[in-house]
Amino acid sequence: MQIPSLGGFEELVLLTVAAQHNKAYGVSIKESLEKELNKTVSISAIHVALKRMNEKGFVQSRFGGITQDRGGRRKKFYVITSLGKAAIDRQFEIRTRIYRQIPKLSFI
Amino acid sequence: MPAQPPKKALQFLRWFCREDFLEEIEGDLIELFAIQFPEASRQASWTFFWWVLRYFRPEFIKSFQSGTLMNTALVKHNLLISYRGFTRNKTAFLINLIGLSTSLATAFFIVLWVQSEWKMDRFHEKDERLYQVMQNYQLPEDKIKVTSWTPGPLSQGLRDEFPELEYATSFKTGNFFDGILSASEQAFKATPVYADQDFLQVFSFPLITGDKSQVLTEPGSAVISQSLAKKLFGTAFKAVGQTVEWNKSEGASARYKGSFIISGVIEDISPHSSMQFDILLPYQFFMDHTWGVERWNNHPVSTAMILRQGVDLSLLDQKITQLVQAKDGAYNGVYFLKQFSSQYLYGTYENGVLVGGRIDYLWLFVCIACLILIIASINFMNLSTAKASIRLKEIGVKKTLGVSRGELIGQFITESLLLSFLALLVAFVLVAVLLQPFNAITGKQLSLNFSLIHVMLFTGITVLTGLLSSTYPAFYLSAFKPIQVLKGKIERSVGELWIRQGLVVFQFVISIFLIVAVLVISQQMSYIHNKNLGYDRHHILSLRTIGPLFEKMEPFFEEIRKLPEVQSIANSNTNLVACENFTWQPLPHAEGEHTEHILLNVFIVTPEFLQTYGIQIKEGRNFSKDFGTETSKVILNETAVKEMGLNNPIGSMITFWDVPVEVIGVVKDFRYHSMYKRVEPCIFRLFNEGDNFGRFIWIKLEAGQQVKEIDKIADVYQQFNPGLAMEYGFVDEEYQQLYESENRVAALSKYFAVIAILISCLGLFGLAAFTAEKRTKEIGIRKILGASEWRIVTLLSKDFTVMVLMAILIAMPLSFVIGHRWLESFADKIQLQSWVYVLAAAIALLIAWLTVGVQTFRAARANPVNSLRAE
Repeated sequence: MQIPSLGGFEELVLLTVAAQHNKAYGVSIKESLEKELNKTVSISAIHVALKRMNEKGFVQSRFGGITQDRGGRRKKFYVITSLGKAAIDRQFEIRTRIYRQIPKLSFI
Repeated sequence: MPAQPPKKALQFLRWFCREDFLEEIEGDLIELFAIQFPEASRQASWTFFWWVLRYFRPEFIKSFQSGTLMNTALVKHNLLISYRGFTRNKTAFLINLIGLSTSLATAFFIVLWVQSEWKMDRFHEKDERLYQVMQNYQLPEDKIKVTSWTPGPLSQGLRDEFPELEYATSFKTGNFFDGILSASEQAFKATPVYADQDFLQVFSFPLITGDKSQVLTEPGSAVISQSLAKKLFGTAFKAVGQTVEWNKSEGASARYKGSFIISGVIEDISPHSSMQFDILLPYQFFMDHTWGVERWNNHPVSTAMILRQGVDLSLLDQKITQLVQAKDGAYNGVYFLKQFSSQYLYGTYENGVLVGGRIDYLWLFVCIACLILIIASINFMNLSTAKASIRLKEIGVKKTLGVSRGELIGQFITESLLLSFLALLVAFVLVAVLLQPFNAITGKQLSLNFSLIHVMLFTGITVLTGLLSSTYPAFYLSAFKPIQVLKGKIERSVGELWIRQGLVVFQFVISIFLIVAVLVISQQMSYIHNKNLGYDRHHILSLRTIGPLFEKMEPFFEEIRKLPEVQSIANSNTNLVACENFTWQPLPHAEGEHTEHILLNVFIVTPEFLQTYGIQIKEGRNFSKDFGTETSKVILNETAVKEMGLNNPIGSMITFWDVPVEVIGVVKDFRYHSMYKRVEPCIFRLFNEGDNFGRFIWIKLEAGQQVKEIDKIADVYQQFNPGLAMEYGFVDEEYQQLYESENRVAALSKYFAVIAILISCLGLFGLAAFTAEKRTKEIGIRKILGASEWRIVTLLSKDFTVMVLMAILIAMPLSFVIGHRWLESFADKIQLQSWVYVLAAAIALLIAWLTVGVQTFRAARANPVNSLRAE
């Protein structure tokens, strides 16, 4: 089966979604990414990435329950699908393979 | 409760964001806001806005296509249904079409007229910096008179002393300076402006040949208009360098005669200029030939200037006043600057305060245009809501099949827009056909040239009218509930009936108001035209002293006196109807600190003047040859006597023009100037020996057979002025011209009133037809049960009568108040009489009855069998 391509930022978001299994939503992804990357990430960029990956079938979403914070709005949680998992696996595989081809280099 | 994110931003988000993403995005944003707020509460709101804004991208924006107007199939369907509707209800269609097209045509005429008035004097290149010098004169009793007259040397003074201005020019206009321009054995009458060198720098009258900074600098040079150049020399270019003779030998103290070399040719003056002339002559020439122009205490000319950018106007006003006061110690007026182009529309002052001017008429007509459009729209609304029952099934079926309300509204709007655009076509035909008569009434040269502005304005008005007339029906009709409609049950609310009747009442309020307005205006006009002014203005022929005649006045008078039909002939320096000659006169007991002045209008006349005009002498006597030379004697009017404070005027000595003179008579006050003004003090004196004649000749004729008499006078005139056609006028006609704009408004308002009434009646006609049609069965049953035709007619007309009566009740106080206000602007006015209102009410009622009557009578006459057999 042809796996749709996965952009760089999308990959990061997808990894985070996978890492925060079943508890990933907009703000949590943003916070985690900011911590990992040590730079600000815009929330809209995350939403765009999530929408695209939803269309590609890499993630699924569900609404959480109503809470008092967030002005009564429900959270939308994302879970990685098997296709999504396949996509990051392939990505990881490709990268590792190519990485291994790097000759031993020493920078003095 | 944590801090709230800005509401506006959230609203914006909700407006554009896709619904399936909205909740998530909103929630995440609010959560982030709550996190950020404690850290940087000030910036948080702005950051929030920024966040929201970043969602404004294709992925998140919802689809705004509602499909109402985009769908071509639907548009086609709407057009088809509209077309069918039109063919089915031909009466309603025609009524709407006629009403809308007439009102649109009226509106277009008014747009053309307003636009043309608006453009007056605005074509000058530096319009926004082009200012005219005006002044407030102090009159007795704290009255202030505003004029645009300034001292002759003012522009030179301004140029020398004020760096704030780029150019300043003094000039003298007025068609009483009309003279004869001759060259190459041809002669034409021409209107001059005497202008100094910067005139063409200040006013942008485009030159065909010549340099605008040069053409008026030489003392012997003149600039003529293109058409005059063509008449005299063939082309504009041939004219330059040619010599022309200017002859304006009239008036006692000045003989404007000289030869000039043409230095430039200007394009013919645009009709959008309030200043109209054929030739520009050097200002110096005017100064040299007119007594007192160089004096600072004399105000004979106009002055205009181009200011530099960013000049403080009020400061400059003060400086000009100070400049004049420095030159003329007795001056007690105040100068101010006024944008030249605003004078045309805003030119009426009342006691020194700007109160309007032509702009009032502009607004008046814009209001009338709106009212007429509203009346026509009301017709459309009423007819379509009244006819709703016919369309109920259509609406019901459509709604059951899932047509949304929006789409139904779209359909009705399409229908009325279609009708409006049909009406637009008819309106264009109407405008094209009626443009000539309209120009004749308004005295304009309007034309239908399709500029972008016109197209946009006309389309805009049409669309607006279409929308206006369709909104109410569209929302009303589309709101029906399908089940009730299909079951045949509609609840017609009382409110709906109220609205329809209210609209009819409104139409008639406007119509009645316009009838009253027309009656009041025409009454006031005829009052003005027939009022006893204190002098007899009928059968007085007026001539201008022009050409060689001036040298031979005495023999000319003798010849004219010999004609049997001539009662008397007189000569004066100024026109009685519009006196243009006034002077400042120190009060007789002005000694020491008493330096009070009054404004005196000066009539320099021959002894027959009073007799020719039938001005009555109250005390004393007229000038007479029996007493020898009487150049040191004067006659005053009653107002002058009063304001000078003379107790025994006859025989008292006053100082006039620095010479002691004796008052020999007092005339009863008579009205010169227009009716807007009070009677001002005036003085009569004789021409000095030697320079004995002025530019106006008055000939009092016997009543009747005027054509013959004029021919005889013209024959005599020919002997003295060979080759020149006699130009003449009648004093009563000249008097009417004073009220030109009022006469035009009166004429126009008549037409508009008729149009408004006609359109209202069309609507009433349609409604009556519909009511009669709907009640056919009822009428049939009533007739079978023995009701008389008359009874049925009254039954059907009752509702309409009530509506018109209500309209009368509302319109009366309204028209009283507004009529009263209009009349207040006249010094002499009619009383508002009650019969005017009775007449207006009667006319409205009668017209309404006639309109409704035709329909109801037909319904009442119908054979009941026909209406009842149908089922």
